[in-house]
Amino acid sequence: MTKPGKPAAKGETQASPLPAGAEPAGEGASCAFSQRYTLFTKVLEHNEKSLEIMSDLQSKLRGESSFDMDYVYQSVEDIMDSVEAMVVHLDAMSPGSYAKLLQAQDAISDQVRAILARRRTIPQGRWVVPFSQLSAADDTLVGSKAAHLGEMQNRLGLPVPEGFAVTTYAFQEFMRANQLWEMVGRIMISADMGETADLYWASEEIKEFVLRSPLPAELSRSLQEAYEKLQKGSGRPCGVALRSSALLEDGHLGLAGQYDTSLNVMAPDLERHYKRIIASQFNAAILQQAHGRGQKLTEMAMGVGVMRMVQAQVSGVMYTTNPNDPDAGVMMVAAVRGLGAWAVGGQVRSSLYLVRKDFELTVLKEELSPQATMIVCSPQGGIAQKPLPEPEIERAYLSHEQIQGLCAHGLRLEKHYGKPVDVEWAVGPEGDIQLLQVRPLRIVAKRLSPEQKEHLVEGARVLARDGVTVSAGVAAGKVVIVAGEADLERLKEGSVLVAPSSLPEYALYLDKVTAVITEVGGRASHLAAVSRERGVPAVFNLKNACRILKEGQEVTLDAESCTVYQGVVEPLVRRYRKRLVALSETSAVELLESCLKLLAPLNLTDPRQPDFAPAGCRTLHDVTRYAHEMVIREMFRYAEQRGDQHELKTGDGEALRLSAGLPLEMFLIDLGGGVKRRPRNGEVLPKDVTSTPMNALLHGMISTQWRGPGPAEAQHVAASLGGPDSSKVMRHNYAIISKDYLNFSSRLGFHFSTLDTFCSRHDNDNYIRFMFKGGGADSPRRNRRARYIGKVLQKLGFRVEIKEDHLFARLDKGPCRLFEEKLALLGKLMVTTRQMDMLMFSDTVMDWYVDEFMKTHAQA
Amino acid sequence: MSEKKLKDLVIPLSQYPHMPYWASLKEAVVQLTLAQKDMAPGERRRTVLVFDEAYRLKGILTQRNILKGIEPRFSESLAEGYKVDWKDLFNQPSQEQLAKPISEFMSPVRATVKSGDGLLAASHVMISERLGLLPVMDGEKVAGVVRLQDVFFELGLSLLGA
Repeated sequence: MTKPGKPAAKGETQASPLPAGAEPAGEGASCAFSQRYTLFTKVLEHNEKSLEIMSDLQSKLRGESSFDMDYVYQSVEDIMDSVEAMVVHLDAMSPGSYAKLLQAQDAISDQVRAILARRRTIPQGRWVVPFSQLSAADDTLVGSKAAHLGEMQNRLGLPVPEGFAVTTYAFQEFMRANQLWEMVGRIMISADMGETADLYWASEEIKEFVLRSPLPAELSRSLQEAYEKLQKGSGRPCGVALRSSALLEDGHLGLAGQYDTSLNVMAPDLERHYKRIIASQFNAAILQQAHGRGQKLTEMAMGVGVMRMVQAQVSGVMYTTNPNDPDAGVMMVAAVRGLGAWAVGGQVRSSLYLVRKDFELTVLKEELSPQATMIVCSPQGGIAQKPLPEPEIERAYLSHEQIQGLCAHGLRLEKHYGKPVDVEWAVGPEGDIQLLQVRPLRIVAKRLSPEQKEHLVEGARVLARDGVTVSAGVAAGKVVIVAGEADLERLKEGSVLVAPSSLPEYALYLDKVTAVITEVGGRASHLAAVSRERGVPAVFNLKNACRILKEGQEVTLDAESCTVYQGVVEPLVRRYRKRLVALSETSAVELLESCLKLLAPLNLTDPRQPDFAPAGCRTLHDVTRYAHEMVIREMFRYAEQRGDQHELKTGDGEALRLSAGLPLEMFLIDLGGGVKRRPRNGEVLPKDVTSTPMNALLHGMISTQWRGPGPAEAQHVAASLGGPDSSKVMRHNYAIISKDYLNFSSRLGFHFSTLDTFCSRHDNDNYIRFMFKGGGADSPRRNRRARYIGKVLQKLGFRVEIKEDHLFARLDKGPCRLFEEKLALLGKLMVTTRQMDMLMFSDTVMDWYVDEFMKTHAQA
Repeated sequence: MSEKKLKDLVIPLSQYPHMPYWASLKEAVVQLTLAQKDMAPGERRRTVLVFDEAYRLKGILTQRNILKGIEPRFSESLAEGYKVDWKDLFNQPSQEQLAKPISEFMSPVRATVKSGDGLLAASHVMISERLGLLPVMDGEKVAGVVRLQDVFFELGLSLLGA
């Protein structure tokens, strides 16, 4: 990234007291507005970019498309760069004010880098390491599978067959000693990777070289020694199982389980099987993927786990959460007779057991499948098929005690890892349970084809079909329309949140609701990120959702097709649950998951809360949220200061007088693209204005009847009278504009207002901030006028805060067209509210004026 | 026994309806009706003070002014016959009248008193100018109003030695 230069204006201008409620972290001199604006647009750009990448990473993690290690590294680096750029640009607007934010961002980025770096550095020097010395932290040393075997055995004391791991360093040394990477490079260059035949040829070629190359002498000796020690421990000669334990296992979800496993290997075959397993990294599918993504093969590394073979009577897998019904609190055990190769490979039907995750581990359901043959270890090595005697075929072969013992281990693992796991297990000759492998279990939804769906929703009435999918899924529930903050309290377990906008504050309620529908907002918004993180189906940009959907109505949202159905469409909801499938973790997924924990969750939701501060930033998402809020305040703050100081800095360009037939003096300062051409006499007409937000505001102001004299006259009189605030009423009104931006502060009579808005084709960047305070009447009347404006703005969808006669309103995110409408209405409101405080005799009259405004100007 | 000062009888401006002169007749109706819906009938105000943009008093708008504004024929003599029909009030001409600014209908400020003046001075002005309500000035600013009924009440009590 490039860092912005130091603002030239630093030191040239006076720091001034900040307006209440809008102060950034500390003191700071402000820079010229044009520079400030450039910094502002940079912050917005980087905000958008970082949120987009986060959104993409989250979709990947939910299994929506494939990715690999390089993708994770690159994306995470990009996010860190963007967030840093955001904070640096923000700080340049008010140098030194954001030191704490920079610190927070640095600290989080350091943690992320530590995760990335840990994955990349392979510890040097050791060839083999016994399981008894391993834990999860050793994944770079021996690969993930072997490290977790160590974790189970040593950290949790769970039964794992004795064994050792050949390190990733050993693999690298093997490749280096035989100059195999050079060989791989030559083969890859000479093959046309677009041709399937070439691909297979290249794969076979490389594997052949790997199998033919000798192990470094030291590796060979270490392997033999470790094996002999294992034999000694068991007291009799035995076979071992060799399992791949990849470091940079490819992240393509569909290709998990590509690597080889060798069962019941005897001493003389040990080296050959070791090479066979590491050669499996070069299979055709993986070469093709690596090529397609420009992935470096040299970054691959693999450990191999070598463990004493369990002469299994029964083996299988256990999911600590039933993938077919993840919310039911049920575990699933699949079992076959003999060795487990078939249970995993799916060649025979396993018997299934469902166990409730309660204290007793009640077996809820047994589905026994008859089995005529099983796989066993051959005495001379390798495996063989063996028919089962007739009476055994249909007999249950796992006792409830065994199932419960197994599930108790599963629960411990789930608790230890903090998420559901997928465990391979076997029951030894003595009936003892052994755990062979553990992986985090991910449950993701497979997409249904439109045809499949059509059948499921037959007869269901479509209420709406519109918007964009921000978080896939299907969910049903009762509609709660959230128009204002008070409505949030009505959200209950199972509510469907329907709102005009996608405010980040709603994130707090996502653990309650089943689905989210909003009228505006995009995939890269804060709320979208949290919806995906929590797995809450969400559709944004569904036009008129608050009108089409009725409070309390039961609906079903299919977020993938952006369709809302009337009532609970039971077949669709049920089928959606059934589509959930178990996927086993790969390293890329794991890496992404650990990084995302520091990237995506949003803790700073409500800017009014005390923890909305740099110290409250725990993720980079928090940093972007805080920086985004602050950059808008920075723009706003400048306007307020300007209101008091009435000075424009050199470099901000010439002030052009706007001749719009309005009874007030208005000057425009164009930062670029705001005015069509430079007029000769320094005067512009409304038709020359090309600034989108200025045009919209002017449109509203011009189309509204202006009653009474212009404020200039009023100001004159007021000043001569020494009325309230008279020292301030003589100022001109300046609008700083660009194509997409407007910053307008004005004193119309006795009140002061500031409008700061960005109105562009990037929905996510668009915002309006509006402040209004003061008046000439007594304070109850002034306060009522502020409440009047507040009520109107709330009806127009703004969020409003009022303290006495000081109003602050905000609107965030949404399409340009909508913002233009709101700005025009704001223009009308600014014109009509002038001196209106005088009229605010009581609350009933205030309400009457609210109705009048809505009737006259804002009829839907 | 010393004379009572007006100060204690002033209804402050904040508790009295007032409007900028460009506000409409309709808004004046709102000020004297809807705006006071929640007040006890005896508490309701019957007059609006009219100001300019610098809070200088420009006039007074009474219920009479408003009714004549809505239906100009009200000002004609009854002897010439009863001409106004209920429906007429909702006709277009009346609605057009409602949209006009109150400055067209208000009465001029014929007299004011100072907040330091006594009860007698106020009664004197009210009687000679036939006014039921007087703006009370605090220098250049309007402090509020006094009503004849309140002045009479105080005067009467004093007379009775109560």
